[in-house]
Amino acid sequence: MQIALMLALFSLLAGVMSSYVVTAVVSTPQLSKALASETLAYFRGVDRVVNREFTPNQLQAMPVNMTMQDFMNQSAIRQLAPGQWGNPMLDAWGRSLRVMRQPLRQTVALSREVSVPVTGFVFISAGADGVFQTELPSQQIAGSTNTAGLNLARLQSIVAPTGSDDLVFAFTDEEAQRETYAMVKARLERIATVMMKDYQTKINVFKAVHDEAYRVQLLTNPTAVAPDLTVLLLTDPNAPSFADVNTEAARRDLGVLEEFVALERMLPNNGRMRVELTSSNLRLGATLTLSNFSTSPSPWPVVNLSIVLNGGIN
Amino acid sequence: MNSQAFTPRRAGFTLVEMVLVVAAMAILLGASAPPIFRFIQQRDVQVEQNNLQELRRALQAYVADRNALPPADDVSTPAVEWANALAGYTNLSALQMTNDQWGTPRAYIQTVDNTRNVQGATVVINYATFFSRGPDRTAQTAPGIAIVGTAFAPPLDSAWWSNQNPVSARVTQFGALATAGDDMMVKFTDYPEKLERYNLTLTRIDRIASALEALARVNYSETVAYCSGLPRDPTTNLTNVALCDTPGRVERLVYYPIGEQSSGGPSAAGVHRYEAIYATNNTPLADQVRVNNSAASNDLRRADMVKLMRLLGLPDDYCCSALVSDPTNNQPMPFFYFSNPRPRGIGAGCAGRPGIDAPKLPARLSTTNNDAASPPTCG
Repeated sequence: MQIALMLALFSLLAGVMSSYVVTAVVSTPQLSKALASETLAYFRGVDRVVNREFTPNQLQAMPVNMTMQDFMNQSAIRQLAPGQWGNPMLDAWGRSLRVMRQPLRQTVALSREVSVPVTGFVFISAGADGVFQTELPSQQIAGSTNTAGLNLARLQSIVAPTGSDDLVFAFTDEEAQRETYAMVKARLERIATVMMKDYQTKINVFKAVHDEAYRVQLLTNPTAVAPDLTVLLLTDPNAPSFADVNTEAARRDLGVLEEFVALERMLPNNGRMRVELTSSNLRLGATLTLSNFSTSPSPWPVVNLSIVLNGGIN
Repeated sequence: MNSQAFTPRRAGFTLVEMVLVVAAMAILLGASAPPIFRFIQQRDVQVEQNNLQELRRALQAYVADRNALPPADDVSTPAVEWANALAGYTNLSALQMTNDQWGTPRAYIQTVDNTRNVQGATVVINYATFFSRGPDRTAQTAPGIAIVGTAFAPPLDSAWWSNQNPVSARVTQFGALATAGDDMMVKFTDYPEKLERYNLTLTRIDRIASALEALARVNYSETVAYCSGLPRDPTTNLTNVALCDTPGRVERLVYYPIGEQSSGGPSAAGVHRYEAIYATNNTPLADQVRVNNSAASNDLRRADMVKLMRLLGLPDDYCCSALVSDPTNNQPMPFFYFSNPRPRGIGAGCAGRPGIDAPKLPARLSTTNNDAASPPTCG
């Protein structure tokens, strides 16, 4: 009787204990998974902020002389930080991250006209076990600064070793730079398209008026000579010309003011682009050029994108 | 013979045995109690962390679905509204949502940043936090965290991060939030998702613009061919169709599907010419795509935009912004479409739309109705 009572008592204690143990065993991997997910979401969030906001807005992910600490302390990054630590340099477990960036010394050519700075980033969390197992291609990882001599290919090849629970996330802002370039080119082409259509319309009207005058003239003078419209284009005071979009009024009148504003926007470091129309004779043609503003250049070191507008009567 | 009566031995423990067993148990329990207690406490902390993470996931799903945060508590109905809102997005029970592992109420604090400018567009970003008082059941104050006694303060308390001014200060404090003592917290923001949605919206607009341009070129070519094929007056060499009768006029037409303006009625020049072309080509006017920017509801304009997308060969959901939902029914907000993209002059009243007769290309899509009677901008 007493033995049964004692056994029952021990069983009860063991049951209570085992239920705690089972709950802990179940909740620990769940929690590790959730914290890993939160940490990775943070890394992906930084990727998005860099590629969707920083680089499109500033034409570079970060100034070359900015430290990673300052980069991570920006409000846009801090607000994504995981956990309850209020520290963007910690993962969801509250342990220090390894964060590196590599601004390319050389630029990546996107086209013949433009080359741009591209920055690579690597974020590494030690994971649930708190121990870094990932090998890095440089010894200069102390602290959380950049790694000299690291190129994009090596940077993107950093992976956690098999069996490690390290979380490794590498990305670059090259895609954002390419998209920005495509957008810049599209806007410039759109301005050129509008200018060409405007010019062609005026040319057609000009041509039609002279054709009609010639046709009426022929009714009374069959030997009348057809007007040389190319000459008239240069001599007739009413001859049309390309709109001079170097003035804000002309830009607005053509409906392309927004395009110019977008292309010539001011950047955080006062850098800017300039769109300029150059021509020796706006009746015959012009060149629309996007270039870096010489006294306050943008982070894109070389920009010289031109579109030639061919005029005249064909 | 031993006459002493036989007394059967009764089964059981002697006093000494009992004392030894109880003493052993006491020693065992005494030795194991602190680690067991710590183990239980640690387990509770893990369970609470899991529950907070689950709440964050539920909130993420809710916002992705509804493009808005659940309402914050008010003083009279604490922890009811947001918990009810999230009920369909998690397996946690109502009690597990509203109370932490130690039975004390959680705090749900949220705010909306509607001042954020992303590449010239205002993007609404949601921020929220869940707090637990932790094992000691006592809330600890910290920058951006408001308490009253041992509990968290109501959401309207001015010390909360969500009540700082200006709005940018809330975002800054949200980024720096750190709990004190054994309090626990999870944070949520849809900022990266909004950036992605913004990009998706831009992609849609770009694809629509390309499709419109292609359609306009086809329409233009068809119209030129049509006018060229008409019989001409031998004397004037002009056709008898108003559409084609003026030299150079064909090139001046706007060949986009029709976007009506809300003020001043449809663009007479653009619309009527367009209709004339298709009427002459025996296309019933009723079958034409016409986006009415002044429609009585967003649903009606969305239906117009969906027709336009089908005309352009684009997916139906390109009709609308990926960023903004109609608050009345949670449906995507349709774009406004303008077949004549000439901007208004920047002057008093922004009244006139200059050069409505001019062939400015391409058409314009917008997330705001710049043709409204009181346009937010003149652009």
